[in-house]
Amino acid sequence: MRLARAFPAFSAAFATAYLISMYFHPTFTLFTYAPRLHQWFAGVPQLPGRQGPGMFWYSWLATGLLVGLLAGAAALATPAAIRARVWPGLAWLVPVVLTAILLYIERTWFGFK
Amino acid sequence: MITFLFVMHGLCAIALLGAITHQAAAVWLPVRAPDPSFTARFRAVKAASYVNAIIVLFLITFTLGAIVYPTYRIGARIYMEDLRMSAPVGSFEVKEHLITFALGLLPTYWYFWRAPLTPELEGARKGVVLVLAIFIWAAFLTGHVLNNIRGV
Repeated sequence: MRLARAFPAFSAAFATAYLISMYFHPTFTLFTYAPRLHQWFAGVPQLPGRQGPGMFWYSWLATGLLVGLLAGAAALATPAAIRARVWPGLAWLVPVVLTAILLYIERTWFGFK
Repeated sequence: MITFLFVMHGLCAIALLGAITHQAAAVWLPVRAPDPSFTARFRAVKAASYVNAIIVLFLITFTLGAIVYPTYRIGARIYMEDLRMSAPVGSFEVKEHLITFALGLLPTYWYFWRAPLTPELEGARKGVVLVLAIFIWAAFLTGHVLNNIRGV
């Protein structure tokens, strides 16, 4: 299945774009879900206290998906000789590295400065 | 309805946990010789046969989690924030990100495990299975503990 060759690039780009989108919130946040209102908003609206909080996770997922699809398309357009040189272990190494970065980003929840 | 979906989310997560643990054990601790013990039988499964079940279970569990997430956000999370329980709230943040990484990894996981299995991808297959297993275990334990603190 030729399309499947794009999957490793998709996976790496999806997770990376998701983390970037989350870390740089609200820069790359495309839309917001307001669970109390059951409504979706473009961008990051200012929700009054009774209407908040907004949820951005769905938007970060969408950003990851878009970037992942673009990366997958780019991988398909890349010559097979170049693709063959890419170490397949990157498939697990990328999420491991991103997890280390994630834990550093989220450290303040656990009392670390 | 949300309670039903939440229970289904938990049940699917348990099934997923069992499947990925079986596969990870079979890949990382393969049985070399016939052994009738429980642990050997646990590891002696055919790892490749779990792939589609793991993907389907993951997608169902993930979708159910995404549906019940808003209820957590305006219920259990605010309760924990009011009590200044920042570690449990942060744990959920980590859980949602890890499980998103795992979601993105699924296409590659399927690609590496499609038949016929190529020997040059064996290391990558083992790595991806281990990463998925760790993410799923972390998410399950976090969700379980948080549900004990304040259920949806």
